[in-house]
This record gives sequence, structure tokens and C-alpha cells, in this order.
Amino acid sequence: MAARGRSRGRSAPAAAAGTPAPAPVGAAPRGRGRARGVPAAAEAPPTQQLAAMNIGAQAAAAPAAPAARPSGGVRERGSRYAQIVLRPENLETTQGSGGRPMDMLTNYFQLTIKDAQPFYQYHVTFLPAMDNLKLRKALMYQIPELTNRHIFDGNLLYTPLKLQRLEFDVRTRRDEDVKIGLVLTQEVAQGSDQFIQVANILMNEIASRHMGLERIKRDYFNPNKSITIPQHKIELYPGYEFSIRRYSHSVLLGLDIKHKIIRTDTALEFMNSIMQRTRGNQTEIAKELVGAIVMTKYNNKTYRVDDVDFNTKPSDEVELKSGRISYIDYYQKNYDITIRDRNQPLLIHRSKTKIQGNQVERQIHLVPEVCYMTGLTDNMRSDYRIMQDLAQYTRQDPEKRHKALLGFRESIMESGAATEKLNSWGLEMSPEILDVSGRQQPPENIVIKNGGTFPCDARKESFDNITRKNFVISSAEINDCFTVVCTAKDTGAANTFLETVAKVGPACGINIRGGNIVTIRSDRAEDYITAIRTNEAAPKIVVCLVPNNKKDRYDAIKKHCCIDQPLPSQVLVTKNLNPKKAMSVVTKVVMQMNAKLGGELWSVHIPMKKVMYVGIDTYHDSGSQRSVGGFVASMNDLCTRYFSKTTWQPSKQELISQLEVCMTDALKQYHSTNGLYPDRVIVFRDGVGDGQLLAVKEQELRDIKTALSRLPKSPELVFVVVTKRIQQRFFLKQGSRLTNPPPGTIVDTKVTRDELFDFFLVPQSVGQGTVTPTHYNVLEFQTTLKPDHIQRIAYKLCHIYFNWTGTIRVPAVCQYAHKLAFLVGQSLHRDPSPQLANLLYYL
Amino acid sequence: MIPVIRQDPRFADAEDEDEYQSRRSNPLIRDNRTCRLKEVESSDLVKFEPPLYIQRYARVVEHCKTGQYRTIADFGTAELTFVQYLKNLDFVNQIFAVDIDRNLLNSQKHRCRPQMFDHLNKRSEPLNISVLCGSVLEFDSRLHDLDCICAIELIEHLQKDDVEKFSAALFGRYQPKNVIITTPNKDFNVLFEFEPDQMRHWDHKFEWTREEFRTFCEGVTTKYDYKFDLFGVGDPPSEHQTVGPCSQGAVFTRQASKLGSSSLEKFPTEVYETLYSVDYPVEDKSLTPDYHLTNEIIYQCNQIGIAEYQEQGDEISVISIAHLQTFPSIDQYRVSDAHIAELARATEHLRVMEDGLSILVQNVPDSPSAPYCGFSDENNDSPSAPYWGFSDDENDGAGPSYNYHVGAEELW
Repeated sequence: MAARGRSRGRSAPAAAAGTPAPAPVGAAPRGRGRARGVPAAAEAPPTQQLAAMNIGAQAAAAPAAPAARPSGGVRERGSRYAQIVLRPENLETTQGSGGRPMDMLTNYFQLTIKDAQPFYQYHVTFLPAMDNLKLRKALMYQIPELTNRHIFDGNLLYTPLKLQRLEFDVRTRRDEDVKIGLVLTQEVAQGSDQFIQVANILMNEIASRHMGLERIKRDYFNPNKSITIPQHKIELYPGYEFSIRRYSHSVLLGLDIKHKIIRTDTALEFMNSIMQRTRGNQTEIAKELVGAIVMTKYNNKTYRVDDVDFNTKPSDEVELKSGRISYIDYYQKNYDITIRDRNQPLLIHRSKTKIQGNQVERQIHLVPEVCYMTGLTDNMRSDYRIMQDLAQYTRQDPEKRHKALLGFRESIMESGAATEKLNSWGLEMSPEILDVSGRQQPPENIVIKNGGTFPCDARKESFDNITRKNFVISSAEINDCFTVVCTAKDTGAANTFLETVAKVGPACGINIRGGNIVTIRSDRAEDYITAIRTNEAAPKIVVCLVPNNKKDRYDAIKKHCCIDQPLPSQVLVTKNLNPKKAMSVVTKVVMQMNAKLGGELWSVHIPMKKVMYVGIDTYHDSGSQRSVGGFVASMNDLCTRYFSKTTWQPSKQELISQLEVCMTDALKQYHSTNGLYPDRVIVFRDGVGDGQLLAVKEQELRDIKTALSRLPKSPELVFVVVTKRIQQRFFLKQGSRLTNPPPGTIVDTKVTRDELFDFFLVPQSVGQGTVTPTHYNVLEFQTTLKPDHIQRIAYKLCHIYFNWTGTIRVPAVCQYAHKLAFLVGQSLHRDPSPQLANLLYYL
Repeated sequence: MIPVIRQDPRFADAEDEDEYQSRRSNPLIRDNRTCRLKEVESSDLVKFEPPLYIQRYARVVEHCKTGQYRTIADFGTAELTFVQYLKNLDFVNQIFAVDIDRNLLNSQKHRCRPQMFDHLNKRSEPLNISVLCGSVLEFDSRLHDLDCICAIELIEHLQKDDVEKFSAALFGRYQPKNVIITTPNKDFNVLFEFEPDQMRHWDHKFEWTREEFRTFCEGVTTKYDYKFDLFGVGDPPSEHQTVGPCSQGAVFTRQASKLGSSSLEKFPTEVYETLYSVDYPVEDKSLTPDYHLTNEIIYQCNQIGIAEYQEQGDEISVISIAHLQTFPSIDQYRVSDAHIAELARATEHLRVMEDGLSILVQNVPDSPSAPYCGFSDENNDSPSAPYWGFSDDENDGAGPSYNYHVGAEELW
């Protein structure tokens, strides 16, 4: 959506000069979204041409125009609220009806205007022309009629007042006389794009001016209520993320509770710690700091660290336009800050700025002593102590969350100025959060051996107990064709492993017993690989017992077994074979080994046959400049066998460019397995941001369609974008209490959007906190299926991820695609061997 | 730190790109030097680095430091720029920022709110900043008997008739212990090659020569119980020594250490409107050094532990206290190894070896109740272990989100 931002700047001066730009014919309805439910402005605005200059129309007229330099609040945000229609055409309804109805609340406040009074949009001209934006804004305060009830971006003025007088004489501080002329361009109706825009600006002003919140990026935090976690040098600021949007029901203010993590150590302290820890290893320091965001003490700005300069010290001099000065003196003179450590290395930030149209790279040196670290490092993120301590505060159950949401409204009501601001625009915020109805789908039965079924624990939506039964649908013929590689020290553990395998494997119905052990001299990766390569037993799968979680070794083993010598492999940390855990761990491992070799563990009952389910996800490779796309397609009606392929695209690009090839290969494979092509293809695409939906629809969907159209009879196609990181939360009303909605909850009203075919699904249950639903956005629905069907299928597919005896947050195909992309991006960095394509080796 | 290159030197003093561009393109401004938005304080002949206004602020701050003034008012505060300097002085308890321009104050008042780093790096002394709107010719009892009142480049904006009233209010009624006044030195203007009667700023009602300023200061001291010292900011180029400094100033010091108790000014007369008032975060003094040191020890041990876990997969790390003592952040407390051992023993997560020389830290949770913990292939899927191993929690999608899931969006 970023590309839709378009400055009105170019046409505005033309209008001011008396030659209004012509209205882009026919473009307005799409951009403004008037076509859907929102009545067009009842009366024609006085100047038709000028009216066409609103954001929506312009965006639609030139959707691909690059965003101009933003200089006013209204201008920049225009793009965010223009809503693109992505809903498949010719749909009767996007709502389902099956399931048990439930009453819930959701984290939205309804926003209405008293008496549906419109706002007014005026175009403003200054005579003589005023180029200084700040000055223009300041002069507007001299118009007495406005009484501060206006939003002005330099060209357009929004106000709830209908002005009688349209010409004003004002005077600058330098006693220059200026004439301000207003032209009413449009009445802004409740629910229109401009209304949404104005409402957002107002709420942002209220949050930052009247509620004492600090804005960080798009969210607002309250530093006065900070929570200190001193042992981690972390402070947590509670806060909110909110946005006002038009939903199918009405205009809603979506509110989410957030916590900002702030670190209290300076870059210098942080560097000193690494310095001591690594005993002066400069590479380590650079590794930990590059990419980090630091915040400077003196101007509150944030910079990304691009490099660490160990050869420059604060006592060195830098060339400024006025001459040479040392960093120490510079800070002393300019900011009255005394740099204490004269020998610290400096941080380098590089930025590209435009100076008179030319791209110039600027390099900024920062002194670590005056920079605060922000965010968590990878190391901190992988530290359970930190995450546990954070979770204590960040994870709030529905009751607490509800209270915090109402607290937001209360603090608006308590602030006289905030209430006055809302009142002066006639805006009303509902006192309670929004009611929403949901439907709970019936619990699924797990399909096991010989068509038998096994019930899911309805409350937790898990089926752990399944492993106590002889359940697997089909077993890979492993028998004794597997090798355990371990160091001599771990032979005891290896024997335990073999014994336990022989016990638990057959109990689950997996044909595995025996196996041989190969001991190696050391726990170096090369020794494992040599042992695997020279093993004469020719096993079907190799199990590596490793002493710890060291990543290089894991990567090396996986690289060897996925590329050089295609062979399913299982890596296991020896420690887990201790007597307390051995049984349950080995059970999981045996199930996993079975799945890796093409055995089928369990399934769910899906009446529909001849469907190919496809999962797509991307992973941004940590080291290289590319990102990996994982593509996984189901090959049988039970959804137990899968074909997979990986693709590569330039770094940070979410879109997958080779989908046509992937899809064609998958269809071929489906044909060779089943002797026919699927009747339906249902694609679940994970890892797409809101802003990329249009691009996904235009590129990926097109590629898939091209591949399908080559078949003798083109299958029906459903394409769904799956999003996990969303703002919406649902709270189930249970008497006077609020709890998490049960697994299987579907919501497809009120908080869904008119321009989309979307729904929310809660597939899992959480032990603590509030469950995050998963958002499904159907971009293509060329099928005889009904919305109910796709909702149920989505839920069913959440049950059949072989690494988890329960439901997961996304359909299994998505999780498989994620696992594949993750393995390739993190460990392999190259395409895995095509010989493995029909196995779940990436589990 | 590298200044933006501005091709047109006439507007090189523009504060930002917006101003530079608009001044460059505005025909009204382009050919009329007097119409500049900013005060003229440099020319082809003289340039100051840092800019003169910063030098001036620094000089006044220097006086405040020397005097350790705790209560300070800034008269004619405008964009509250000088307040930004004052608030960093750790001994200051109260700052009043006073100006008559309500619109300007309303648009700028939030500049003095505590910034993120003020919350992180809390002050040891409390500080309140109040933004007040009103005329400096009037009297507000809240500002009576302050340690210092600064009037930086203010007096020349007053009508000549009002200068006397200003002195009366300032020295006669407010009676602060110190007053710092700065104003342009007209003698210096020859270096700007001004036209006759031209002044440095469009709003200046007058500019004083050094002699005129001295006369004003002497007038004050004869009338009120103060003495004064002159100072200058912005030395002239060596070949023009005779013109004196670009900006001239005086520090006035009240002679009576205590004011008479009969003073009428005791009665509260709050004529200034408070537009904004904010208290700065203050550090909690009840926390002992041992408390801070304990946290430092836990932090460093965790950092070492998690790094070793990441690199070598060590689930338990042994850290020698002697090594910890080499960390500047721990060394600064100057305590014995035995004391560190004692503090570590008292924590929940750290253990101390029997010899008392090393600390043990556990890098993975010790929870036998987590049945699926840690297969190597499984780090991403095991519910109890989603956060270590090679998991990228931003993308975790499966069952792993069960127990320890903090929404990735809640992190930076």
C-alpha cells in the first residue's frame, strides 16, 4: 500500500493559481470506497474539480506513483487508509453459518459522530504565497472562527465547522499582511476515507498531547508507568497500539495492549561487557552491535549501527565546516556533555539523504557512551530467563486485558482536554468494547489406524494420549535399517535409545527395532559426517546423538544429509535420554523418524477428495542476501504425504517469483502419485504483510493460475493469505467473566472488512495470556465451495502437523512450508536434494 | 555530525531543509537581508563555530554551574531552547520558562517534557519545569527570590520605555540572587557591513554599544542593591579587536543575602498562566549499592551463560568471580570476591561453587515437567523450549506458541 501514497503537492499550486486539475474520470469510486455501503456525499460539493483532489481519488488515479516527500500529517497517511478491494468477485456471502454460536467481546471501540454531522474539507490559499509550511500552519491559528477545531496539512483544512466567512486577513509576526482564502471542497461523511484519516489524526493528537503517552513508531507508551527488570537492564513501558478503520459493521477503533522493551544500558557499557566476556574480541563486539538500534542521549534520535570503528577515538578530531574539532569538544560545546572514556571506539551510522536531488551517503560517528541500546539482542531473545521475566508482564489474560482496554477510554475521559477535543468534533467512543458473535466448530476426531478415530481433548485441543495406542496409519519399514552415530562417551545413551525404541516404536505401530551404533572419536561435525558417509550398513535414516545444541554442528550434519548424501536424519541431544524423559522423548523421536521416512501418523476426516493443499512461507536467511521460499503440497486425500520445493529470491523480498514452476512440479507429482490431477487446489500463503496483499494477488496468484491453466481441465482454486501477527483479540463471555474462546472459534462479522473476504479462527488454546486468533484472507475463491467449507478446512488442517499432537496456529501445510524454509535458510543455504522432495525430511 | 551542504551561503544558517528551501525559493526573502527569519550573527567576515547562540547558552550555563543555582527562570524563553541546556544540570530543582507569546509556547511547550533517556537515566535531584505565559514587566510571586533569572537576548526586543519597567520588575520585585542579561554589541555590527540603522533582527527595538550597556548596568546598581560583572561571547577576528565581542552580557549579584521579611512579595500573586508543568523522574534512593551490584552480577552471568550456550551449547556455565571483577561495571563497586559470592548466593538463579571462587549459572530451564524438551530438530516445535536453540520467535507458528509465547510484536 505504500505505493499508493501520492502527494497532492503537484496539483495544489496549479489549483491555487486558478487552474484546477481535472477530475480523474471514473477513478473515484474505487479509491474512495464509496461503492460499498458508504453513501456518496449527498450534495454535490461546490467545486467539483477541487473535490476530486482528495486523497482517495488521486491514489486511484495513479496507484503506482512513488510516494512524494511527506511534509504534512494528512498527506503521508492518506495511503494507509485508502482501502483496496481484494475480495474475490461474484460472492454471495463471505460468512459461514455452521457451529455453535457464542457471545464474545473484541478489542474494538465503536466510533460515531453525534447526529452523523459531517466534517468539512477546505482548500486553502495564501496571498502572497507562503512557502514555509510552519508559517502556514501557524497562521491558521489566527482565524478566530476555527477556535482550534481544525486539522491543517498545509493545503487542506478539515474542520467540523461550516464557515460562513471564507476570506481572512492575518498578519505575521513580522507585520506582513496575508490573505487566507478557503474554498469548501467537500463534505466528509462519516465512514469515508477522509473521515478515517481525520479521526486517526485526532486520536494520535489525543494520545500524545493529552494522555501523556510517548509515541514510538506507531504505538504509544506510558513511560511514567514503566516496569523495571533491573537484572536484565530492561524497562517495560506499557502502552497501546491503535488504529481507526472502517469495518463491515462501522468505523471502529482497534486497540491493542503493548509493551515496549527499553534497555537501560549504554552502548559503551554493553561493549565493555562483551569486551570482558570475549576477552577483547573485536569481531564479537562488531557482531553484536551491527544492526542494533541505538538512541542518543542528547537528541532522542535513533540510529542503526552499521559498523564499529575501532580506529577512531572520541579524542580524535573531525572536520566540520568551521574547522577541526575533537568529538569530546564537540559534545562539550554543543550539548554540554562530558565524554568520560576517551578511548572508546566509535559507532558508525550510514544514511542516504537527498541534497538537492542528489543521493549523498552520509556517515555519522556516534560515541557509544552517549547512546542507549534499544531492543533485545538475539542472545537475549534466546535466554529463557529474560523471556520468562518479560512474559510475566506482557502476557495478560482476557480479564486483565479487558481492564486495560477500558483503562484507555477512562484516561481519555479523565483528561478534560481530550474529552473536549472529541466533543468539539462530535466524536463519540462507545463506553464498552464491541460485542461480536462467533461460532465454535465441533471438535475434530483424529483418524488413526484402519480408519479408527481418536477424540481430541476438547478443552486443550490436543491428543497427547494417542501415543498410548497402536495408532499410526502406516509405518515406514525402518526395522533395523537405522544407525545411531555418537561419541564413545555416549554409547550408553545410544544403547538406552535403542532399547527404548524397540519398546515404544512397536507400541505405536511403527516397525522399528534393532539398529546399529557407530561410535566416533570426537564430537566435531566432521567426525559425524565421516561416520555417516562411510557407514556400510546403508541405513534408511541416521540418528546423531550430539552432546549439545551447537549450531555449526547441526548445520553441518543437515547440510550433508540434505544435499551431499540425501538421507533423512535425526539429531538428538544426549541429555534428553536421561531416564526421566527417555520414554516420552523417544516416542516423539520415533514418530518423527517415521514421518521423515514417509510413514503416516494420523489425519483428520475431510469428506472432500481429490484436493491438493498447498502451503507457502518465506524465511529471510540470516547470513546471505537472499530469502528462501518454502513450498509444500499435499499428495493424498488423507493429507499425510507431501511434495516440497524451495525457491530463492533477493533478500527481504516476501514475494515468491518461481511459483509457477513449483506449482507445475507439484501437479506433475500429484498426477504421478494418483494417476489424475486434483479437482481443487487450496493454497495457504503465510508470511505476507498487509501492504503486500495487492502484489501477492497480482503476481503469485497469477503465476499459480498460469500453472493450473496448463492442465487439461483447470482445477478450482482457492488462495488464502494466513496472518498470525494481528491486533484482534476475542474474549468469550462466560457469565460475568471473560475467558479465552475455545479452539475452533470462528469470527466472520463486524471486525472483518467489506473489501475483503476474511475471517478469524482460534485453532489453539493457551495456558496463559490471551489467545491470538489467526486471520484468513481469501484472495481467490473460484470454487463451488461455500465459506463454511473453507473455514472448516482451515481448522481441520491445523490438526495434522506431525510434530505436534494437538492443534497449531496455522494449517499444517503452512507450518511444513515454514519448517522447510527455516531449515534451508538457517542451515543449508542451498537447495536440498530433489531426491528428498517427497519426504518430510525437514520436520 | 556532518553538516548538510547548503549551496547558497546566504541561507546556510537555515535550521532545516524546509526552511532552507522555502527561503531560497521565496522572492520576498531572497533579496532582502533584513527579512531573514534568523538573527544575523555571522557574515562573510565572521563565522562562529559552534554558532554564537550555542556559545551564548553554554556561557550562561557555565555561570549557572559555578553558582550551583537550584531555581532558575528563563525570561523570553521562546522555543524553550535554553531550557534544554538547563534541565541537564543535575543540581537544578526548578525551571520556569516564561514568554509572552502564547501560540509559540503552546506549540513548543512539549519540548521540555522528559525524553526517553530522562526516564532511563533518572535524575538524582527532583526537577520541575513550568512553562508560564505572561509579560516580564509584571510580577508573579512564584518567581520571587529565585537563585537566578536569565534574560538572554531579551532586552533589545523591549520598547525603550519598557526597559526601565523591566529593571524595576526584575531587580525591584523579583529580586533574584543573580541575574544574567545578554544583548547584542552594536560596536560589532561594523563587521556585518550593515546599512545605516540596520539591526541584527527585524524585531530588535534597539541595539546597545558596549558603552550603552555599561551605562544600563551601572544604572541598575545605583538604583538596586546589586553589583555586576561584564562578559562577552563571540570574540572578534584578531584584526578587529577594537569592536569587542559579538554578544555582551552581565551577571548581576544581589548584595543582600536575605530579603526583608516585611516584603509584600510574599503574598501569592500568580499572574502568569501555567501552560505546562512537568516533574522529571527521580531515581529511587532507597536502593542500596548491593541491590545494584546484585543485578549487575545476574546480568553479566546471564550474558556470559547465554553466549556460551549459543556458541558451545553449554547448559551450565561456570564463571570465575575473578573474571567478573574485570568488568568495569562490577569493578566500580570495589568489593571483595567473597562479597560477590555472598550476593550471588542470595539470588534465585545463581549458585556459588563450594570453594566460593566461581558462580554457576543455568542456561536452560531445569524443568522435568517439560516432556518434549530439546530434541535438536525440535527446538522450534517443543512447547517448553520455543525460545532457545535456533528458533526465530518472530516466525514461530506452531504449537510452540503455547507456553512461553510473547507476541513478537511486543518486542522491538
